[in-house]
Amino acid sequence: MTAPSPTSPPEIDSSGRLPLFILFGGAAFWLVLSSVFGLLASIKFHGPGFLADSPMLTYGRVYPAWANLLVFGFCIPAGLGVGLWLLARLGRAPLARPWLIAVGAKLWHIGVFVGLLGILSGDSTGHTWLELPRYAAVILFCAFVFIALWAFATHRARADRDLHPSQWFVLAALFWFPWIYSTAILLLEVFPVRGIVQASIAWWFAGNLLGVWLPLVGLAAFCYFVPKLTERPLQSRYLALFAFWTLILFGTWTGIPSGAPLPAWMPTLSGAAAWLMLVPLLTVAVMLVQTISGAKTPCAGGPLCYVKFGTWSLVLSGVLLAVAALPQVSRVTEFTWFNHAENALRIYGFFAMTMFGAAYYILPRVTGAEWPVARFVRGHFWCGVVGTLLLFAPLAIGGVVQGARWLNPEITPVDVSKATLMFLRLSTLGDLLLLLGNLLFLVNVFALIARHCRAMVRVLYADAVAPLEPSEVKP
Amino acid sequence: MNHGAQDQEGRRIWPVAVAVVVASLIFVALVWKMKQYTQAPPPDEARKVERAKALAELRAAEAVSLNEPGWIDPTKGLVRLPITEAMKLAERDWRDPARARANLIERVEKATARPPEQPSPFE
Amino acid sequence: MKSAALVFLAAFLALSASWGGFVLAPQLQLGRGAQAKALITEDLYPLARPGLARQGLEIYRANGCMYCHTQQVRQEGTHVEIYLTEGGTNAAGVLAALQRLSPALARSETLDSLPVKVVEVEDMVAADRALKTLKDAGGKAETVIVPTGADLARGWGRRRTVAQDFLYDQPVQPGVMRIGPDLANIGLRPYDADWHYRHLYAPASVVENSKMPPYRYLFEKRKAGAEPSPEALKLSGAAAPEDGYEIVPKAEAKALVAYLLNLRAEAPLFESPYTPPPASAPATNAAPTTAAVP
Repeated sequence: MTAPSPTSPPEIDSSGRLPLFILFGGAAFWLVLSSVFGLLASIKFHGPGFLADSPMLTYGRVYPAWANLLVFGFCIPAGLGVGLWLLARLGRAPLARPWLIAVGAKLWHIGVFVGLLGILSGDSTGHTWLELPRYAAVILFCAFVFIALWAFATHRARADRDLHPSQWFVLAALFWFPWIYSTAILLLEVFPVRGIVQASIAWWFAGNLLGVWLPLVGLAAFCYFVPKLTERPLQSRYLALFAFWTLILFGTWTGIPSGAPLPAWMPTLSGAAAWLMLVPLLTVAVMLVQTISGAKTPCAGGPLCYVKFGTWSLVLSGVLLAVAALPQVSRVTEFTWFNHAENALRIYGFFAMTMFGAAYYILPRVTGAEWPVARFVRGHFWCGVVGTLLLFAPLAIGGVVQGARWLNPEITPVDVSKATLMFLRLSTLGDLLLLLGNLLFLVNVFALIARHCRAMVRVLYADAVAPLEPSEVKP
Repeated sequence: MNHGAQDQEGRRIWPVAVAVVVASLIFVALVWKMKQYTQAPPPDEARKVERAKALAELRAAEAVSLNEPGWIDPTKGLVRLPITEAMKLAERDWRDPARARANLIERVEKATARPPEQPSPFE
Repeated sequence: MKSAALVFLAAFLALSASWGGFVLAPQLQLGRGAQAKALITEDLYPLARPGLARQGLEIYRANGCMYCHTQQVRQEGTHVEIYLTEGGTNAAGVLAALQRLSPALARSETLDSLPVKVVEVEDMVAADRALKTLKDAGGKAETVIVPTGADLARGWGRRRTVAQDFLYDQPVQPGVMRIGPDLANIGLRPYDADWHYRHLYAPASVVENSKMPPYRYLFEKRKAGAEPSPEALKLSGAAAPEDGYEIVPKAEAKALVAYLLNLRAEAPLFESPYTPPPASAPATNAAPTTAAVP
């Protein structure tokens, strides 16, 4: 097959304008809404009566709304946006059918909206990380496959036949999600399996979503942006290949908690996989250090800072996952805030921060304009870092305190929950900072989109009212 | 972009589209196959069968005692009759009240006679 | 790697391995589960939940109870207890045996209040030895297997939770977080429906300082008639409605409480055995007092 002539980077970037606007704009919106739900859930621990009289805002619905908006509302569309842009940029081909991708992205957001209403009205499925009801899941599945279709079409039309490591990660992620999501939805909702097998499948799904899909997309961004922003070559392609293989081979087995009421071989296997996951994560750490060392570019609160912080968060969350898989530790940390802290670090500290860094690099290039409020980029970074740490550290410590108290039968449940209150209050501060940072992101993204639309309208208007050239008039 | 290039692009895209959709649905097929091979009867299937059998037996016994005459206790002269038969019998007997009444006491006594007491084991 | 097809193959191989492990294998191992015979009693376990309790499971799901409560009792080990059930005719011999096993019990009054727990040992070998000592002396003794662990010491159950306990649930909600106590056996603990209603309506009114949110939307506040409704909650203090009004549970609350009362996973099973202590002996896992409630 003859390679099509390469297109110039600005042309490629502008080809993805509409779908990326929709993907990132929607993601930013859901992220802020998710932070609001997270804050509400957190405040409920200060006063249990807070908003308790509305069934829609009870803790048991606000909490899954937070989790699902964060993962399905923000992480997946943002990841798709970054993935599409990477495929186009690295393949040096414009996005295939951007209008149809835009339709797919809209469909995805509609699915998230429908799912959110479902959760709030009590239609949650009852499986953690899979709460979005069946009718929303079908929309999400179709939207994802539809977008993936054009992503593959873009990839196939690439001018540069050689694959960059980022492309492996993105392509694998494009396959991974439909596979795990279809399995989970079919076996939990459509033809539900019997008994505890349901829990096993839900844990398998969550392990693959948080432990493989998010790292795949985040590392795709890592492999592209770290060398690009430091202006040094990626160290090295072989390490990246090794990290890719070990991530998909080991990551997919994590997920079954160590105390699960399942045959013992399953939690044991998951624990071993959590330890083996240290291999790809340490590889990534080595890649980061080697690639960055000697680089002259300071990160100065820009995209590079985000990606660096994200990578270290991923490594740390992997270490915590491995430690918590030890039976002696999980005895304490299982069923406590510790797991929530680990998830927050992985989703927020690693994935969201990496996606912010990517978005701060991509969107100005797509629109050809600078960020409307450049200060906000830096402000968002510090809000994100401090917010993540304030959310993560108190909850991790609080989880250990909580777990140790549950192990002492003399301490009443009320006293156990009282012991975690101080940590929860600190984490509410973290939630507040994250909300603030996410608002800055939302304002910046929407202002950028609005400015671009205004400029387009102005051009169109100018075209429309421009005096007719005599040559254009048909005789 | 001219028409030729668009056609070429169109030809390139459709095989990809089909391949991607098929690839995305691989696990749907796997799940479907698994479902076919591991479909288990509901957990209380055996119990359902057992209960249906017990119910059928009960019904059969009830049908016999409702519809067919038979001895309950020959020594006491107690019989079981379908209700229509019993009504006919009563109506026939009581056409002549005097005759019906004649051995009534005797019949009642025979039917309600107490069995002799068990001898005490200590005597 | 040079093409998307290779990436596809790599991803497919990696994912289908774990799919086989965590989706297909449990389906083969547990997916055909059926009722099993409990040890000792030979009763079938578990029984399907009655209709109202099944509706209650939906209320439990819709309101996300599982984000604060687990249904997984953990167990850390077992120990074996030896009970002396009958003194037999050789009182002196039994007392001598007791002297060897548990000197504090070697008094003649012990033989008047049987059965009595003689020793607690960690393994069956030691248990058999103690059993033999008592039997040789002419007493009758029983071995009792007792699961141990912090959760069990809290009175959350008699044994660990196993896969069999979830046979009839759809969806299965083992829970991820213990902000409140475990509920796997809440139906066995000494709370009646009335307590649950009051607890759901105003948690702090029955458990001091409880951080559980109130579920007032599961209840209806209405004008009391001349006679108060028999369903009306007996509330006092701050939770009580103003005069002339009463609080009655809605259908949702009734279903939820029926479900909670139906949560009882205690049948001893092959995979999680235990023996109940001999009749009239005090229960080994102290039943929770009202002070230690959720």
